[in-house]
Amino acid sequence: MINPNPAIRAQTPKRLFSRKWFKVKENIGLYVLVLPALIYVILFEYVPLYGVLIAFENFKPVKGIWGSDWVGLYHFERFFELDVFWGLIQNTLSLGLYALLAGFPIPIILALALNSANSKRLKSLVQTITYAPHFISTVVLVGMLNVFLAPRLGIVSQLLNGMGITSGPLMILSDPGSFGHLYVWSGVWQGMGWGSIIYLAALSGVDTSLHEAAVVDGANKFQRAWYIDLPSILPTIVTLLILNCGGILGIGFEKAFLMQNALNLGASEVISTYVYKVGLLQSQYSFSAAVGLFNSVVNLILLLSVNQLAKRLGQNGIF
Amino acid sequence: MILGGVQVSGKLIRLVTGMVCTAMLGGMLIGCSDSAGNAGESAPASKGSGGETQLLDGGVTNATGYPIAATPITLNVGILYGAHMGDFTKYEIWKKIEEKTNIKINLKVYSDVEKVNLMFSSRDYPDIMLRMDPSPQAISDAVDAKDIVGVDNLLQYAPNWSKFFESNPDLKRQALMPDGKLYGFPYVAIDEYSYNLRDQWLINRKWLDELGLKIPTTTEEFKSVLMAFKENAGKGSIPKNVTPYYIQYGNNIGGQFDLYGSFGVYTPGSYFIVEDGKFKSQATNPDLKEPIRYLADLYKNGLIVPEAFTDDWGKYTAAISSSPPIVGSMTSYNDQNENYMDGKWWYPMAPLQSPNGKQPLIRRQTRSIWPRNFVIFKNNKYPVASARLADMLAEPEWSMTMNYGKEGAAWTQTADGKYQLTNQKIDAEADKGLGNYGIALLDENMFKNNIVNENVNKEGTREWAYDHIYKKALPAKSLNYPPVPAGLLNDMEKQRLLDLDKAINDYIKTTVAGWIAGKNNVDDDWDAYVKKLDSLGLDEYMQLNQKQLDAASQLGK
Amino acid sequence: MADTTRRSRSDKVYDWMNGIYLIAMLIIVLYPMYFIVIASFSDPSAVGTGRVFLFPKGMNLKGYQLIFEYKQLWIGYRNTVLYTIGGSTLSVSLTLMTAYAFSRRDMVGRGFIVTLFIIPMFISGGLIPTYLLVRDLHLINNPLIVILLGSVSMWNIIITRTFFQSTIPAELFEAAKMDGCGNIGYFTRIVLPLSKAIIAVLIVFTAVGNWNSFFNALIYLNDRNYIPLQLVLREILTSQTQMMQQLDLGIVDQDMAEKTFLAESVKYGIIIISSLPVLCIYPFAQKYFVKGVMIGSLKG
Repeated sequence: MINPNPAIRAQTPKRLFSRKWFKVKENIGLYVLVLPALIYVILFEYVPLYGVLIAFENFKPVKGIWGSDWVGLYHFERFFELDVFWGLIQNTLSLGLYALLAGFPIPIILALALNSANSKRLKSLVQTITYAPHFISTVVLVGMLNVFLAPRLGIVSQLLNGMGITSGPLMILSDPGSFGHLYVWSGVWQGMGWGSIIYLAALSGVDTSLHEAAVVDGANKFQRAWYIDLPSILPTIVTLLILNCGGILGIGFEKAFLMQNALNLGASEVISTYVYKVGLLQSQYSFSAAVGLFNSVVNLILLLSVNQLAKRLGQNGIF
Repeated sequence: MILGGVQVSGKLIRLVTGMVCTAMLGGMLIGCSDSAGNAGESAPASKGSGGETQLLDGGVTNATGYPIAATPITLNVGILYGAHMGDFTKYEIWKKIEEKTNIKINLKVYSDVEKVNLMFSSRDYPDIMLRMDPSPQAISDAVDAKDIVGVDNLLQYAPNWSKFFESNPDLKRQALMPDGKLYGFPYVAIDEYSYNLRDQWLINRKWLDELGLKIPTTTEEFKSVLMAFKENAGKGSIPKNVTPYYIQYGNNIGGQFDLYGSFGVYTPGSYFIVEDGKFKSQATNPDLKEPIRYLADLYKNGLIVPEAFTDDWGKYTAAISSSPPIVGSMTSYNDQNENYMDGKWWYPMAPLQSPNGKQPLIRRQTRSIWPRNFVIFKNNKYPVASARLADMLAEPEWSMTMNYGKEGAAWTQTADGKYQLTNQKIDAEADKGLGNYGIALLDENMFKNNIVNENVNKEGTREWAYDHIYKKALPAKSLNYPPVPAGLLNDMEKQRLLDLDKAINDYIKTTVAGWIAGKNNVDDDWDAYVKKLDSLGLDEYMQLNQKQLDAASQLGK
Repeated sequence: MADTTRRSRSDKVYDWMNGIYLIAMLIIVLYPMYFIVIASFSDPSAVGTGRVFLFPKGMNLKGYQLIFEYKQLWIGYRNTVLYTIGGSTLSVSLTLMTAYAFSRRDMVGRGFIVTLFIIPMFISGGLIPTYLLVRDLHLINNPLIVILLGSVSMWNIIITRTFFQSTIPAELFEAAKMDGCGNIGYFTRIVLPLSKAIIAVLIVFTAVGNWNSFFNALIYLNDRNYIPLQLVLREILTSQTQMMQQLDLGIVDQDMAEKTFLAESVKYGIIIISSLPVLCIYPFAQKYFVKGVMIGSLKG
């Protein structure tokens, strides 16, 4: 950007600046629109940001965040050197990836199917019903899983046994290999209707004249969904994909914790549950903060890479 | 709607901007005043030093007699929400306290442990806290920071507690912090029937009677009884989906630990014991293999059901309190539904004799107090009045009311001045007692001589079962880990201990579950399992625990 | 002719497949929801031991009776409605304003400001300094804090910005500028009316988010008259985790098991009582997801 010619260099920045300033003045309304949210972000996000220091010190309430003893990367090292560290990473990453792979496309398919449904009644019924599971609290969701999939008395076990597909108790709840499937698919079940809302809204912005033209050209419904609807909502899809990739390591604590039992612990212990048990319950603020920061950094790297990738592929990144 | 939203947001802009500006200003001002406050703290607080005058706490508190406060005062009191305790603010006891003492209790209920820990980490304390369950680390940090008022100097105003600590040096030691001082008044309810037995082992006597069987006394008999339950499923009152033997695997309550005891391997809800001050591992004790083999055999025969490994607390409760019962045998602290009323359902059973001939054991709990259920924080302006309040609550009648509930509803006074328990459930919130959420002074003497509990003579109750069945099956001396304060180890050691504790106990739990569920075989895997425990740092874990125990035993000496 | 029949045949197949897919989804979701309804009327130990399949077992209205008798629940209901209305209004307005500005490529310094907003998505100071800040602002135990905190969600802003970018053509602004329309005027008079669908989505997202949230109320509110519905529910249900912690302390109270039993008997009814109102807002929002809302303005 910098012009190597010193004669011009003296002038250009000034002119550039004034042109920029003109643009700022012209669009002053935009800054007014951003201002309230900006104040919020500065006050409630940046002012408390000094709290990240906790991760690098041995936090003691009496000494405060500014005064506690500095221990550098001790808590990070402690985390990395745990016997279970790689297990935790593996469990968390594979669960996060699986949840993304399974959970991301299904709301899109649902939204496309709903969008091209003929019967208005069926459409709004399916929409409303699939959205309802979002309101089931995690405790109850896991409780229901336990009731449905109980080894002997659960409805699934009785059905499978009744139809002669399996015999004997269903061990899915305690099998470490099944934990991921259960975790992910119950999440898909709970979230697909909710997740499709945003795509449905985006689909409402698709220009109907494109469809009309395609009908004239003899495109069938599937082709229209594939060649018109899907590309139209692609920006929304890409945006959400990038955002979701930034959360792969952020497997929530509550559901995994509630689904744990002695037999599946090898697969169900994830970073957040470990930190909950060892950090939060024991007032290990610094350790918890360090692991949290580690998570954030990994998530940020993932997000940035996917964002970059999207831009390479000619899509809009999120920034 | 949209325009409305925008108009609102226009106003909001002004509102938010205004608020934010004042807020930032306020933040700076407070930033300054905060550091000023810190400077003030370093000066030693002079409390209760006005010995010349009659009134203490800056001219408010009577040294003796009632009311405690000469003029009405208010104390902010924190307490943890207890799901089963109802709304604490509706309890009548606070009003009674105010009438008698002139101290108004302003109760603040903390609905979550997270909020309690935040209270400590932000040092935003009430005047007094009752039971709050902060982490040991939080308490130890607060003591180090001198945020908690030591009570040794206040004992002169608390003769009941002073006497209690003098006559019970062992219990006092449980209450000492690493500096050898006391930092709170305890909840004391040393009832042998309650603490000296963990779970009762119950068997479904109605089913036994229907099948013409006797209460089993050996592990072989137990197995054949369970087999009979299973084979007769669907007949009589045994349901088709019978669960012959219900355990909630790995759980302190209702877990499999009492079965280990039948084989003479004592495990107090974890795999580590303390014998004569020495920390010992039962996890690597080869004797453990035998009960595990037995449990695996029960599991293989369908006598323990797969739910044992997956049921949560809610399903456990549903299973053991189902009416009519679906369980043949289980362990539980309480007497369960339909127990002693007609004598037909649940009946307490002694731990079983195993083929190895060792003395069968049942688990006990530690004879202990809750050392800090009434803690005075340094921002409390009336420490003497607070201590005197704690002492008043240690009077027998107040303790009865605090612990059990209102006189007349929870207990009555007999003609000879004793307290008779009604053993009835109290529904009205006003009449309830705080139990272990408050403080009380009910020591062994009180339970032996002054409290009358008629359950002792009622066949089938926990109290009766203790006297007639379990007392002789207890280990001769306590093998449980004694209560120790946090702060005996340094921060690094403490963190290391936490990590090791998690890694080792998770590994044991998962491995043993695999053995019982038949995924692996205990005899094939035992050596590899012991080796793995070594590599996880079992030695270091034992040493750190031993170090903590040794330091604890030196407290108060 | 032949062309139309072929097309309609393949469309028919598509319609059939589509219908079957949607009905399958419906059934998969419907049964567990139906189960919640029948479980709420059943004896909790029948539910817990797997005896409830198609019809309520041991018809039991005690759960509902307990719920309706619980006064705090209705106080919580009122508070939640107020917080939801207040919080959603604030949040939706802030999101739309910010997202619109971020959607404008010609905004100088946009990249910097957006980055400023994105960083806190990943790195935050945590609970302790935020609590200290709120305390210093004297907003502890002030219901305003529940409305304020979380009102700016970068996630929503990004989604909304994408929506603006992909549905509202930049030429529209050039045209409006010719007509003497300023940025704010353009935003309120032209962009917002064209964005009913995303506004509907934002209302649903923020209203439901506010309705379900309890954490800030748990941390920052003390007065029982201020606590929202979800916190009351949490107290009734008490998460299993807290119960277990209390149990692990070794002493069990007479009432503890009974309380668990009670929690089991209300847990399904509570879902129904607490989520019905928000379930009802969705059909209203759906009205705005209609194809072709853009057409009029683009052609005009």
